[in-house]
Amino acid sequence: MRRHVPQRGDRVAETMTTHPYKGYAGQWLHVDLTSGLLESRPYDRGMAEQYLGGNGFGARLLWEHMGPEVDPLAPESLLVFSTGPLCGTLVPNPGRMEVVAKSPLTGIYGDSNTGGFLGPELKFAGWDAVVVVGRSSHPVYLAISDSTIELRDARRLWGQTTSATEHLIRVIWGDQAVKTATIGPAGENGVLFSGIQTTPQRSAARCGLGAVMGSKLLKAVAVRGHGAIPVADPDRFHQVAVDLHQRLRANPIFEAVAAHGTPGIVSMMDALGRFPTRNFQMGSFPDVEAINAEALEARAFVRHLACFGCPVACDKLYTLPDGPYAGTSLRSVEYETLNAMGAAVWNADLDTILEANRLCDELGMDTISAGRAISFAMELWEQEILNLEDTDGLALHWGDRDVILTLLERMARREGDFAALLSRGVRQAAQAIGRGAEEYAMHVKGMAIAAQDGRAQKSMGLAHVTSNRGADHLKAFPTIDETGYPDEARRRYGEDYLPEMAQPLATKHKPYLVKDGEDFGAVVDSTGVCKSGGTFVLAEIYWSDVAAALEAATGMEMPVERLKRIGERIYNLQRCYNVRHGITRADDRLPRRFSEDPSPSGNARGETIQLKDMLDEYYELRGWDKVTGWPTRAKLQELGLEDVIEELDL
Amino acid sequence: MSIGVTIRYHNILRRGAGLDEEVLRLPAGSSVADVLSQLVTARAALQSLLFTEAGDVASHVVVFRNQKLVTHDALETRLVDGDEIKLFPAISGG
Repeated sequence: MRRHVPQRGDRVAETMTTHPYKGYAGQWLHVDLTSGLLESRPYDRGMAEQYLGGNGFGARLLWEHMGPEVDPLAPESLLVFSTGPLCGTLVPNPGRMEVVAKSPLTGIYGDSNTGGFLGPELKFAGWDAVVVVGRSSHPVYLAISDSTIELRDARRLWGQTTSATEHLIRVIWGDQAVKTATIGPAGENGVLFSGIQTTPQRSAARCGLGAVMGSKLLKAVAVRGHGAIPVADPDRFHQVAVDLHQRLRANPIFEAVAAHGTPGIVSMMDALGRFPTRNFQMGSFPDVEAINAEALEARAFVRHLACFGCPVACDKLYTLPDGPYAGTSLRSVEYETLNAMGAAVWNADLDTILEANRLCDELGMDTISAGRAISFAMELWEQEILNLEDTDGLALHWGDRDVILTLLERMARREGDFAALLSRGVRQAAQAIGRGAEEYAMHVKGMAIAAQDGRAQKSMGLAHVTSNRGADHLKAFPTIDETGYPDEARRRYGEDYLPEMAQPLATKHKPYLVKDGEDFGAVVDSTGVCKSGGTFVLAEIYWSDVAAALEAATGMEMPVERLKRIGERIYNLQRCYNVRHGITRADDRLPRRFSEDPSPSGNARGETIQLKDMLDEYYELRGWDKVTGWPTRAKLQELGLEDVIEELDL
Repeated sequence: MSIGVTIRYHNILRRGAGLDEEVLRLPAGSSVADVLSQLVTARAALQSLLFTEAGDVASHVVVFRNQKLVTHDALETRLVDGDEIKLFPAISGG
């Protein structure tokens, strides 16, 4: 089926003239895979004013269309690809887009953010978002070439890896500049932590959104755009963008972040005792020097790479020159993967980590959750909860390289009962195994905890439990107190909050840090810019900067207080979505290990984390009920969420 | 009487130092601040990475002594023979 969706013709021209704000394409694409309907829909003015775009747009659509009765893998389920008004513009790091759906892994609100080039390309094609519903009768991919939209047969792509899929689409299309979002075999097979790979080797990895895409028999979204993004006040916008670029480059940490990207923090996190080792038994890895940034650079570094419009270039190209995986070439090797496939599974072999990373990228799996499934299984083996009969004949010894790679392959293909069980994530696997296995499942609300340890950084422990997508460091992303470096805390919060605000082991002020980070992060993820290039990492760009950029780009009046209210509204709506799915304060908790087993490692030696007081203060700051953990009627009224009050019967 | 202190450099400080680690010999009673001063005497490239133009230890230098974070108001902490000092730029993330 092939449809020309009028974009700059009659129907959309009407949309563009009635939509008052620049920075937006002014329309989103509705795709019904069951009926084959492809339709342009106007980007609602109220949506822009109340939610900006990105994950705000996605959260609102989920709230309106995806109640508890809808299974995330059912045809009725929504899958939202959503950019924001700064995506594809001149501000630093504007290459981000959000994928939003109900998570099949957690059963609650799910989103995942990805960088690279797809988001800007979608806007250049004239679309702010793509919303997919329904299920195709056979595998298809969605081809967007400016205003020409087509659902193309993907039966010959089904079963292909993510990079092969992108390659074949480009060859068929005859254009190497096509940008894609693809799933691999893991998404096709319903692995609950499968991700969506985007150009170039970036990943919307978390929450199992690849399985949602696979359930729709949607193999890929491919985009080519040739348009531009008009801004409301070009001179002012240019001035704002240049100022932000200059400030980033002048930041004293800029060169250190650019030098290695996220792997650059491995050794520091290890020293802090914040680098999960052996499934969080420890917070430091004795062989950290074998897998840190310097080791990675010496072994495989080829060149620096950047996402769209990014001055930091934290991405790198790596190639293994020799050894069993000689020729393995990949980018986006991150701190998280060095942990998940390294320290967390007691593996000091960098080549194996890179090969595991490559496999996850090609098969379409989240490296964090996949690695955590393996470390969970290895601890169960150590505890003699599992034996060879349970594991399809695999002896799950810590650090066994063959086991790591074999399990990744098997999980992606759901090959064998044991790997199929692990492919459901650590919570479901633990529940199915029983025999005390739940004790070793390191998750919050079904989401495996990433490479942070709340015992070593108290704000991060709180952030893990208050995140709206389950355990997550990136919602609040409390970078301010990781290292004891006071300047960023001083710049953001003032002298009154020091010294505790900068101290990783202090709990004072941390509920405020987490709440502020969540609200600011909701805005960042709704505008289309990056959290690792100035807004959180480097902490250079903050509320007033984003407000100025939005005002100049869109023409929307954006005093800081209004922007803060938008962030709060998005975060509350996501929480309400989870409340509607049965989430209460009782779910805002860490695994027992963190509160009862003192950390044996690094700066955190002897530390546990106790959440009660921080949570009480957090709910109070949020205006939520301390007993239920639910937003109150008064708070939702203040945020203009009357329809939510009615639905929740508050 | 002198003490030996192992210095481990990371990230751009490793590049500036031109080596991964070294053992410094210092007079007994030396502090963390003394270590930093001695480092730039021997390795001029570290001067701008460790100190401000005014000569203060740059606030974005993160110091660990024996796996414990040393805040900048505690740089006068006395070291003992066999101590390990790790030096990082204050990058964060995850």
